[in-house]
Amino acid sequence: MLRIPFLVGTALVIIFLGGIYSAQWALDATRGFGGLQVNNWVAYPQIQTKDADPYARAHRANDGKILLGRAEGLVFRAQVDQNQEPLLRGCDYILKGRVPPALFWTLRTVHPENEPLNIATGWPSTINAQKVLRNGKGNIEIRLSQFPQSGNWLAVDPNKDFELQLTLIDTPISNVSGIRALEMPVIVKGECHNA
Amino acid sequence: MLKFLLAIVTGLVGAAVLHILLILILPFNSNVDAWSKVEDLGDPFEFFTLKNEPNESGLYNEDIFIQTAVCHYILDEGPLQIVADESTEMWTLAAFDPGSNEIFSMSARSAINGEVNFIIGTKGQLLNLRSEEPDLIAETIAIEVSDIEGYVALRSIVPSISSLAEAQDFLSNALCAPLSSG
Repeated sequence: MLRIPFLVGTALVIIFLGGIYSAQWALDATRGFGGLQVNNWVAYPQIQTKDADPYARAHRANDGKILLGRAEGLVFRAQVDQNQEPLLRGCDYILKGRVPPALFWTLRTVHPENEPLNIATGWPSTINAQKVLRNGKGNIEIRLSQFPQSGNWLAVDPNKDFELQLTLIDTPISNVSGIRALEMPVIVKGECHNA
Repeated sequence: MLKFLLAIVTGLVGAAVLHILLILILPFNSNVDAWSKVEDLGDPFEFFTLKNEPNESGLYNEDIFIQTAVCHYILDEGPLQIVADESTEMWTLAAFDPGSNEIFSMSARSAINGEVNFIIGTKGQLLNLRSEEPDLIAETIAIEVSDIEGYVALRSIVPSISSLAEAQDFLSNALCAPLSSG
């Protein structure tokens, strides 16, 4: 006699748990289908527009940020190094190469869910186009480490995951279709410390 | 056994339907979206400069080198004017509808003389202005919108912390007000 209620119950549990958890997961895991990948970097040039897909819209509504307009700039994020391995909090990295043409840019280490990073006061978690030291050819080299480094250095919280966020302000690339051919800085893994 | 499998399959199909519904409905039913947060900042027609630290409004400058001020508007009584002084060379502006879809964006380099001088209005309002005050509209950038509500973000780029106060002055002195006729 209890078979029918059991079967209906099983179906209902799967529907609600599956539906809610998968939607929740999608909100955190993806900013939609419109991602443009250049090496390790991903940007979503359409997330703030009417053309954004349903996942991008849902992410946007849940995130509630004042996004950059197309002519304002474009945000690239990196969660992996040049070998497509996840960025690890216990490791040092060197970011090197060229930043695409832009009036201004900033590079930050951020927590993927936007929790504040716990790094010593005065240690840098952000650098920008005017502060960065360049070599003779105009290339940049920025060290990411939980320990102070010479040259350009961004501090990493040894206890929290991080991603890199490169914000280009007033950049011509948000208007070109050849965005995939862009030259972006590469992220090379260095020494890892025992966590 | 077959019935149990059927229950699982029904469950999975139902979960997929629910997943799609949730994703589609969320943007219309969110109280943490940008528009809700901007409205909660205060009255319309005023630029609110965002703080640099997380706070209860939910809006802040995540990037200290990019300072943002927002103003929300309603165009029921006429077009909106946005003016700021020229104390900064690096600014950007974007206008959004209540769904946070971008309507318009611009940076200092493409503005007339690099000035922040915009009028936002509906098609009818802008047509009226063109015929009544052609001089005024020639000096500004007119943005045509279809929604009478929306918000504007004005940003000032701060290359170094020492110019932070200057950027904040620029933003807090910016005007976001109904266009005064005459």
